[in-house]
Parts: sequence; structure tokens; C-alpha cells
Amino acid sequence: MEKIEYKAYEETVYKTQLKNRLNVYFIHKPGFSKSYVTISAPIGSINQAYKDDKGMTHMVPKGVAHFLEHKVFEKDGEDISKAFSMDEAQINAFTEHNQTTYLFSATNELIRNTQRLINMFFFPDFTDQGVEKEKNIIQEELNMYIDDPLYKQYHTLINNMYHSHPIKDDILGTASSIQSITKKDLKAMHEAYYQPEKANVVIISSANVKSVFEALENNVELPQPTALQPVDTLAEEPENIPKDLDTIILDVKKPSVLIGIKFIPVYDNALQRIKESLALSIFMDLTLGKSSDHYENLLQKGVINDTYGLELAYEKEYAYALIGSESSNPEAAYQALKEILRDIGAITIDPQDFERMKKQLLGNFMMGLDAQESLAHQFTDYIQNDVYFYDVLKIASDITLEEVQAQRHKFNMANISTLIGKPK
Amino acid sequence: MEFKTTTIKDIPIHFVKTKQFKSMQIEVRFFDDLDADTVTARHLMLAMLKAKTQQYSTRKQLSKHLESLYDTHLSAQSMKLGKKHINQFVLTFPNPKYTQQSLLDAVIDLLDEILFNPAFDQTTLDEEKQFLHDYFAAEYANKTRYAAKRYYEHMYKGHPYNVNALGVETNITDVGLEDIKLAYSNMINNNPVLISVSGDFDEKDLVSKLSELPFSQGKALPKDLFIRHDFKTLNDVKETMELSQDRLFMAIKSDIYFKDDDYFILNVFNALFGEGSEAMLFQEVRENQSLAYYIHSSYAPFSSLITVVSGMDDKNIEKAKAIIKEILSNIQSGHFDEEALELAKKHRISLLKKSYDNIRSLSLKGLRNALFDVPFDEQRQLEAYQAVSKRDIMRVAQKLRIVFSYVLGSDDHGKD
Repeated sequence: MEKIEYKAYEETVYKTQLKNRLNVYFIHKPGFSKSYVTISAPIGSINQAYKDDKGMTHMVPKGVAHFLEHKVFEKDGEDISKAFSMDEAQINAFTEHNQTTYLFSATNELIRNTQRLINMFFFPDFTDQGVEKEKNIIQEELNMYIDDPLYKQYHTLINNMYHSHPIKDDILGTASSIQSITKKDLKAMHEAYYQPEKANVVIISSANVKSVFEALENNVELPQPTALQPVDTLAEEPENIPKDLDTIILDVKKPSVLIGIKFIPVYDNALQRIKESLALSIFMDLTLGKSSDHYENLLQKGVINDTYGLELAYEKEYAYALIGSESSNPEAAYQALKEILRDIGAITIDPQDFERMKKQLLGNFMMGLDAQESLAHQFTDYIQNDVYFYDVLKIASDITLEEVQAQRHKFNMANISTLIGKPK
Repeated sequence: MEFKTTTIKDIPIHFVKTKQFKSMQIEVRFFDDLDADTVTARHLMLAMLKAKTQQYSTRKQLSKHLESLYDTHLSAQSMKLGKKHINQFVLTFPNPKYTQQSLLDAVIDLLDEILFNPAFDQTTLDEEKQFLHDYFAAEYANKTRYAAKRYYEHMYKGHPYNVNALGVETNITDVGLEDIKLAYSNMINNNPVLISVSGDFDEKDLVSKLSELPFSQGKALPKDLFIRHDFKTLNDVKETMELSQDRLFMAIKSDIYFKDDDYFILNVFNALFGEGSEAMLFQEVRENQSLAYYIHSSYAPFSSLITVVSGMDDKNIEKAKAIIKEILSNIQSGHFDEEALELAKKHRISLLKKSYDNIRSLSLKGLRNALFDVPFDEQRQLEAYQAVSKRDIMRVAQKLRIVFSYVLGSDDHGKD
């Protein structure tokens, strides 16, 4: 067992490897009644193929990762969520573009619930009947999103920003791809991507770590090494965007503008990638965030409202930023934002603003440690990059003004796409 | 975790002292009647207090100041609790032991500035009025939210709580600066106040700092918060809109209110019936019949209504309605096993235990303690859940009546 103490934050992380294969991280949180546990696999909607034992690549229908998320809960034809509930645990799961996470929060029986989660994750029991029954449920889930104008807007914009990258695909798949998914697809993708060596377990609890680790080591079973393997998803995606301006008619009352900026992510070096994403995030907050001159000017011009917001997604396989707001005059908002982005290369960051941002980062980081859910998810995201979340603050505080300032050159007008939303 | 109460100028303050969190929280609540004539100005006034102050005279300056206080978060919300309207201000900030500078004085100064040094001007009022118009317009964009709004409009027609805590849309335009100033003066001078503090702090130090704020002499907190309303059975309503999925809402009348004898039993009933993924509704409608992705029921203890919410293809709506009725009737006649009841109790117990892990919900417990004399600790509630029997559930279920169903969905002929 490895123990790392973060004295400045009064937090401790323990790590073990079950059967020398499965990494388990334990964050000790004294005083909490609830334990929160996640296990994640490196498979998301962009993973649409596996390799067989001869190295041949097999494609599967879109939406398999998400379909798997629904069916992993099935064991011997029964849904095992009841067993969790009997032990005061509520389970859930979610699929992202590049990761699937299963989780529970429990107020009792931490060890038994964790064993059950790990067992469920590695040994689901798919049945043809169960797969067929799930199709309508997933179709209804898709219908719920299709009716959501915000989702439609996001999906259309991403499709205007990428040529052939699988991030264009809906996480749930399409109506026809969902129908075409078979038990065989699910089993193969499960075997290829749900491997102990590639999964991570994160436990956040007030329990005694030693007894938890010992019980798991003694009782957890792991699957045999598999013949099927994941396929690397580094897509051949040009740097530019296919469409710079588009309009969508939505069932809303107020028009809107959504701008997407495509970046080329750092692929090879995880630490460098984290640094880049932090520097970019700080740069955007300082120049375009709610305490920036630009935000105040846009509000004063009346071209945005308080729904205005920024978002940055920065992963190994893709990176983009979104800027959006409702707007009484979306064309004017678009023109104003375009000018800001065009001139962003000339922006100089005030050292005082930069220092303030560091205080903000520290406060935000500390307060974030109170929410077990977001802590577990952040921890999981960073562990994929071999970095402990608790070290991120140090990485962030080492970033220099010059490194942040250098981000201004990442904004290339040829990589910016705008979508104007108009009421019916 | 330690729960204590005291007063400053007769204003009740409750402290939740715990080392569990890295953050601290100070919350100030002002209570008034929920009144359609005044609520719009009252909400806009709150929004303006949050936007800027005399010292931080632009939105940007106030945002920058909050960032410099280690990302101190300011929330200002209008809420309703039964027939009362609450203006609630919350400052959440990292415990100063994790920051290099003493933060507490600065945070209390900021609270002082926000509450007692307002900067009311026409430009900000116009902006906030526009934001509020936009907020109401955006209710239409999210179809589940819009369906919920329509459902409540039908269900609560003529009900005294039928006032949005954020205001009346058609009154926004008429609100002027004078109305804002009047609403402010009323809040500061006439409203009962409750202060809550949660986290790891020095109580004496905090009391002395809070005593320096120019609060008016405290008034007694409201005790009579809800009205018992006899919900009548309404004709079912379907409203049409081009949708991929119909939204279904059903209202069940219980006549059981917060703190009534059957309150805990009804909560366990709701867990058995529709609250979580082990509930009978979810198991039948989603797991067995694959009709919907989601279905759940929620119990509102200040209005006594239980509302069932789901979304599905229009051809399945009638089938789902029939299942919901059948499940209710099965519970009324005792057609459910002890295991399901056990699961429902565990669900409630687990939710209760978890609610002590969140700094916001600790403050809500303090509120309930102050207004309803509900004990802060969980023991009594745990015992109440554990004591619920099958017979109790049947007895309470037999009081329930489905009084309304609402569907927002496609025209029956609009789909292939």
C-alpha cells in the first residue's frame, strides 16, 4: 500500500493494486457518512472498434459503449441494483466520449458494495432478451435529448467543427445503430475495453483503508487476460473546420449564439497536456470570463444576457472551447465575439489579474474537495494521465504569466465555427 | 458535528460546527409573505443586490472581488416555502486555514456591503428586467421544464401558492426604481431574519463580527407556513407540441403535510411507489415493460401533492397511466412484499444519512429546526422510518387519490 499525504490540504490518498492488476485509490474523508466509489473503463462513444487475436480490426455500431453501460447492470438476467439498495447503496453510471464510469454512493457495507461493483463491472451476463428489451429504453433516452434545443445546438456545432472525428457521433448512437447492436458486439467490446489493467477504482470514504484493501485483495475476482484488444482512436482529423457559420431553427423563444473553437490537443505527453489545458482555461477565464472587460462590454451592448458562459474540453483525442449566450441580436453578438477573437492575439494579461486568478484557483480547488462526487470524477480523469488530482494545483500554480499569455496564439480564425439559433 | 443557536439583536443565528468541510458558509434569509403584487420587485431587488454595490460599482468589480477572496461564491435566490417568500443570500468560501490570508473579516465586510450598501440604478434594473424576461422565455426551451410549468399552472389554479418566487412575468415591465427601493426598505426594516453559519470557525469571533452589521432589531420568525388546500379532481389535459417524446405528469392528492403524523409513512410510501430506481413504478414501467427511460414520483410536503413524471412515445401514454393507477391500487390493497418495503425504508434512511454530508443541506436542517422545531440530529427520523409497517403503508395509500394527469406531446395524428 502506498500512502501520500497532502498536508497543506489535510488529505491522504492510498493506493494499492489488486492481484497486481487493478489499481485502487482510496481518499480518506473523516466525518462523512457516505462513501462514494467509482470504477471506470477507457471506453466511450469514440471507441467504435476492437482488435481480435489476429490483429484484425472489427467495427461495431455507434452507441455500443453507452449500450454496454446499460447492460453491465444485468447479472443472470436480473438487474443487480436491488442488491446494492439492500446494502444502502445507490448505483449509477455514465458514458462520455472517451470513458465509462460506474458508481455508487453508500451509507453502509462499503466493502460488500465495492466488491459487488467490481464484480459487476468485469462479469456482466448479457442475454439476447435483455439486449432486445433495452433498445426501446435507450431509444426513449435518445428522444429525450432530441427534444432539447441546447443539445441540438451543441451537436450541430460539433458536426460543423469536425470533418470525420468520432466525436461527431451522438454518445447514444442513432435510432438505427441502437437497433442493430447485438449481444456479440457488447461482449466483444466489453472484453476488449473492460480490462483490470486499464480500469481504475476510486474510493472516497471515512472507513479504515487497511481493512478495505485487505478484504478486496482477498475476495475480488478478476477476469483472465483477454485475446481482444482496444483500438487506438487517434482520428485523422484536419486542423481546420468544415463550416464556419450556420443557422439552426429551434423550438425556443429567444435566439442564441454558440461559438466553437477547435484546438489541436497535445497527444503524447500527459503532463504537458494538463499544463496546456490549465493555461488555456486560465487564459479564457481572464479574457472572456464573467470578470473580464469583454463580458461587461457585451452586456452593455445588450448582445448577450446572463446565460453567457464558457466551456473548455481538453482531452487526448480532441480539444475545443465553447462560448455561448442567448441573444436578442445573435448576428450582432456573433460580430462582436468574432472581433474579440480576431484581436485576441494582441491581448496583454495584467499581472494583477493573473495573481487574482491564482487565488481563485486555490479557493476553487479547496472547496471542490468537499464534494465527493466531483472529487472522484476529477481524480479519475487525471489518473488516466498518471497525475494525482492533488498535484494539479501545484502544476497550475507553477504556470507562468508568459505561458498563459502564449495561449493567445492558439486562436486561429480558420478553426472557429459559429452557430446561430433562431426561434421557429 | 455540533448544532447551536444564539441571537444577535433578537435575530436567531444557528451554528453548525464541523471539521468535515474545507469550506465555510454564511447564509442570511429574509422572510416575507408570498404576494403576487410585490414578488416581482422583491426578486429584482435581490438580483440587483447581487449585481453590484456602492463600493463594487460594476458587475465586473464585484466578480473580481469575489475571485480575489479565493473564489468566494455569492448566491442570492428567491425561494418560496409554503406561503412565505424567502430572499436568501449565501456566501461560501474556503476555510481561512487553507488560504494565506485571513478571509473571515473580508467576507463579513462583503456581506455588509451587499446587504447594506446597495447601488440601485436604472441601467442595472433594466438589465435585470431583461434577464428575468429571458428566464421566463427559456422555460419554454426545455420541454420537460415547460411541461412541468404547464402542469403546475393547471394544478395550482386558484391555489394561494400559485405565485412564482421569481415574480410574475407580466408585471416585470412595470417595476420601477422606486418599487425596488421600497422592496429593499421593507426587507431590511420589516422582514424577520435568520442567519446560519456552517463549517469550522470560532463561534465567539463570528458572533462579534456579525453583531457589527446594521441589522434591524429581529422580528419573530413565521410559524404558520402552509395552507391546507383541498385539491379538486380535474379533467385530464393534453397539450400539443411537436416532440419526439410525450411528457406525462400525474398528480396524487395526499392531504398529508410536513410534520403531520403520517409524514414519515408517506415518505416511505413514496420511496416504495416511485422515488428511486428500486421503486415499483421504475421497475414496472422501465425494467419490465421498457416503456420509458425515466419515471419517478416526488412528494411536496408543503402542498401535500405527489407528482409522477415520465416521458415516452405517445402510443404508450395510456398504458403507462393504467400501470401507475394499478401500482397505486396494489399498494392500497397490500399487494407488495416485505422486501420491497424494506428497500423503500433503506432508501429513505440512506438519503437521510447522506444529507449530513453536504454543507448546504446542513443549513436547511437549521432552517427546519428554527421554523418547525424539528430536531437537528437524525436519530428521531431514523427511528420514524424504521417503525413504518406494511399496515401503515396500506392505510396511508388508501387516502391517496389521483386527481389530474397532464400530457405535453405530439398531435395524435402528427406521427407516423
